[in-house]
Amino acid sequence: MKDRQAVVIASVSGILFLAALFFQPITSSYLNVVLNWAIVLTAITLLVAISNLVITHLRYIAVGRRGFLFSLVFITAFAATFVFGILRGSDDIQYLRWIKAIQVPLESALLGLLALVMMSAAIKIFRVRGWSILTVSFGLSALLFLFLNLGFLPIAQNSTLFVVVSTLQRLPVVGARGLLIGAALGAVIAALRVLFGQVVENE
Amino acid sequence: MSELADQLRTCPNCGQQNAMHSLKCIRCGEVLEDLFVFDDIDADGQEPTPESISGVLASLNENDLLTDQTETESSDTTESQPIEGDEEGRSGDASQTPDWLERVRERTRKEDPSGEMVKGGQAMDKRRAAGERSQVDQAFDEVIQRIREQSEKERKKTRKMETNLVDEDGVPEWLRRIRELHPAHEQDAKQVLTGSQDENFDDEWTDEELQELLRREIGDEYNPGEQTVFTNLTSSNNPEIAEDQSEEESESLPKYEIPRDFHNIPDDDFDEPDNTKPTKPGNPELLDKNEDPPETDNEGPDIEAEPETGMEVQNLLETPPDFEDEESEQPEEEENEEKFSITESDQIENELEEHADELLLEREESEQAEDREKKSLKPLSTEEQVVPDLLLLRDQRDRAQVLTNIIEQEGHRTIPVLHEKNRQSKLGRLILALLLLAGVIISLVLGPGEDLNLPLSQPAGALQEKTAKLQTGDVVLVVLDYQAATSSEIEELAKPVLDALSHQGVSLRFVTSQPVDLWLGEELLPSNDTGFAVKIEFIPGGLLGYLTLTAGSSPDWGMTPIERVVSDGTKLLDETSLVMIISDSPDFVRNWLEQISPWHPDLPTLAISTSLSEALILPYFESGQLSGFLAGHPGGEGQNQQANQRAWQVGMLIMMVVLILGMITKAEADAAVKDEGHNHA
Amino acid sequence: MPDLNLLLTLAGVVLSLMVFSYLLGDNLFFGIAMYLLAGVSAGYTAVVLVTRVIIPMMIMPLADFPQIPALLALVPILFSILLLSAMFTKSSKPAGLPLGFLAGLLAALSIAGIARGTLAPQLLSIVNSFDPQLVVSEGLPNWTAIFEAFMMLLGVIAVLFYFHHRSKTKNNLQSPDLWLDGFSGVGQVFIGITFGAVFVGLFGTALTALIASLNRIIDFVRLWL
Repeated sequence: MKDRQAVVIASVSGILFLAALFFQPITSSYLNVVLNWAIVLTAITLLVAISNLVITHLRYIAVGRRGFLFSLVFITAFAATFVFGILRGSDDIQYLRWIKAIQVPLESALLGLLALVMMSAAIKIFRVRGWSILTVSFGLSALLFLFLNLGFLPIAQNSTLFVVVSTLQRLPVVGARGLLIGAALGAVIAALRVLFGQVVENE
Repeated sequence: MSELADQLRTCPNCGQQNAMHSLKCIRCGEVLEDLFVFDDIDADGQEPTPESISGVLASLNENDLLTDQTETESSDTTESQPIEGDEEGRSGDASQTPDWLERVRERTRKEDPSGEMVKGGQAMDKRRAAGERSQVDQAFDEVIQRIREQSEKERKKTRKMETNLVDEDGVPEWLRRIRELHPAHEQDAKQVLTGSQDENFDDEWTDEELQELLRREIGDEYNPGEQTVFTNLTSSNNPEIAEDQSEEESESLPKYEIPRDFHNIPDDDFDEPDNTKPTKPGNPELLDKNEDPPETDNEGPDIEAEPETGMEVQNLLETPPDFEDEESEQPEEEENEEKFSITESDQIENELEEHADELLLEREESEQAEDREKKSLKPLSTEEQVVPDLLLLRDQRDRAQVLTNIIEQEGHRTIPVLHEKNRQSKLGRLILALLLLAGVIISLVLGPGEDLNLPLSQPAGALQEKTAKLQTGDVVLVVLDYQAATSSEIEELAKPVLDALSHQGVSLRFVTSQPVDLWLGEELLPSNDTGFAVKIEFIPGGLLGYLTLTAGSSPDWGMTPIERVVSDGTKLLDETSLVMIISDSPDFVRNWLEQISPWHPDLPTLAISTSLSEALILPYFESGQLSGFLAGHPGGEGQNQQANQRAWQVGMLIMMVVLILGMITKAEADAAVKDEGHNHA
Repeated sequence: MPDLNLLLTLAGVVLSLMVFSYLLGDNLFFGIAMYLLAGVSAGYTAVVLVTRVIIPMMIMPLADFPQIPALLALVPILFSILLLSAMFTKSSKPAGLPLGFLAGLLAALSIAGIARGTLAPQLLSIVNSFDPQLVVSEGLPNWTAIFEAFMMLLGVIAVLFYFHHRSKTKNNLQSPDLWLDGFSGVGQVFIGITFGAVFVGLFGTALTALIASLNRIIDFVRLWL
């Protein structure tokens, strides 16, 4: 490894913070200060990422890269939003109306497009993945929950049906719990590796 | 990584680490030494001569360091004198020997003044070195000898090939060499072309072209009328010239005989035969499919004057004194001379005069035909060969063909793009999407349907129960964390709950760490009878901000930055009776339950989320971390459904149908494959 | 202003249609819509970060210099300078300090949070389902509760085993035995059920958004009709 500084700093800061968490009543002031630093740092990191994005698109426009029209659109939208936001304030009603008029329809339409794309995915899934325990159980489960969501069953009137449907609706808990525990174990191991300085480097 | 580090090479110029397989330094562009270095070939690719290797060895022997060391070794055998003498010698050479060597010698003297210890070792080393040196020399010599033998063999092979060779198209070797040497004359030769300009003919040298070539070679001394040398080129050996020539013209035209020892073929360069120049007249890309295979007869072809187009076969080759002299200087070319026979000598002069005018006309016609020919050029195809008069090996020919194909296909996509979907799949996706769109639009146009007959789910019932127990004056912290895309679903679920709480007299405090929720969340703000506008507070830093306000305490020396931004931030959860998380992401709910809730385990937490999160949040409800949650369609009475129920049902139904269709098509495909297998069996 | 409302509604409809044009293939309109969304989102986020985080939390505390809050505020400023310098230099070494600090912090938070917030409660929940007070009712075994508890335990173990077995068979480290395959199959069943539920949930969310978008377009068309 060429540069262990970052790894050492990550390890030391993580161990100190973990200790502070465990001794929280005594170290609560330290926690407050360190977390404030982390908040500012996170904001700066996000700003750096946005700046990088802007610079990249500016470079594309300067070079005349293929598709620089899109970069032009991005830069124009970013500049207009940023400048007006700074000048008029982020609480300005007119400013927020324009933001809302652009973001809400675009994001809703994008998510709606997902529904349309999922249709083609649904018809292909068995063709691509074939018959297996996973795909069959997936298909049957999806059909069941789709049917339950239709609201055709008189569940409210029939208590037995209600119990059956409730039990069926709790079935995903088993798999979800297993997935959560598995993901949690993996995340803990990854975090411990950071604390112990065993970071995997990709060349 | 350590393994890779061992496989790096250092640039001698700038010291940059480069991969083992790099040929050039990535920083300075310096050519790195070859990956595979043959011991007996230097960097220029030239074979090192034995002399050069010996020279290297000699220079090694003459190396001061080695010489000095040798002197030291010899001088150290004696006890005292060598030391003194050596010292003297060394002092003289002190400027030349490095310090480390000096120190080594001194230490040696101190530790082993008698030199006995070193004596034996040095003698052994000497003997070994001498032996090794001689062995190295021997090995070098052997290798060089082997390489020389191999190259000699190859030369002989190529020479044999070349001497016996008449091309596949019947072009003699000597002719090919002429063309190689005089590519510029091809243009002139084109002008000489007359008569049939079809593909077969275009690939062949005509007599006039040859004549023209000869004229250029010989110069002004050439006079067809005075020459008595004729050639008799038979078509069997030179079809490209003879095929297209009619017998009538052959009878009328003079036939020339070429002296036995005459040739205008330059010296062969057997080491580097140049087979790459196209020497054909006209377009070298033109191919002749109908050319006969070459003959390997050593006797040269007898060129018969049989021009179909009336071309005369004039003096092709002559034996001017210059040529003979040149010929004598080229004894190797004698092997390649073609033999020509003189048929008639007296007729030449007369017939030349008669046909002089015809020649001029034919030349003009040939020029015009050539222009026509150029327009009708056919590109190379995969089946056609590269220019046949080039003497190419098969692999060279294949490579040339590949290069031609690549050049042809420039600008066209030949390799299928991996991710490119075919038209059929695009159409299928469009049809399915249009189906869903049509169903939803029609149901929207028809109007909203009845409420869904969905019972209150257990988590939703728990949420309802919890919120109903709140009393006037209780503070509920509403944490907003959703995006504009899911605002329609979230607002439909959360608005009734918050309105109900507001009607109960519960105090709501809205906080968010998402910038968009500052204006999105205004839809959820209940109307306040007191007239005070409820504001949404921004908590910077996301979950870190919430954790700072939860886990950290205000220090004695002043306010921390977040406390400046969030008023009463440290009491965010202290004065709260219930936390309600309104989020479209199950991850935010999970993170809140992991990071924030443990600091206040007695504080009940409720969640309102999208139907996506339902399955993933359920375990937290089952474990008791969440007191209740509302996700997807809430069901139950009193829950206003502003979403169009009919459109929802149509969408769900269409998805069911599509899933079943997918299963059926897959089953059908499997059945078809099975039937095919049975049929084959 | 009704005109502005109409203009904004028209803009919304046009933008929605531009997004739906993706059904015909990736085209110019879809690209423009996406980059417009990215630009506006990035711009608004930058405005909020600057006005609500950077200035009040990083710049304004310096006004109390040389008090402790101001001195402590120098630390994130130093980190920020190091982070910003990485943008202008080829070397990423300067950014190592602040990013390492952040990574360590987040790793520590992950360990503490996951252990306390997910692992312990979820595992305890599985164990607590065998609580005698639950499995015995009125002196008699509550078979339903027992069955549910066993199913939960078996299911979770099978799901965890499936991932472990899958990675082993992928690496060919272990020859698959029949009973291992069978147990792994049980895990696959439960995972398939969960994925099916998540798939339906995602489709439901997307369908709701689609209905909202189409409603907007239809309302606009009705307005003109």
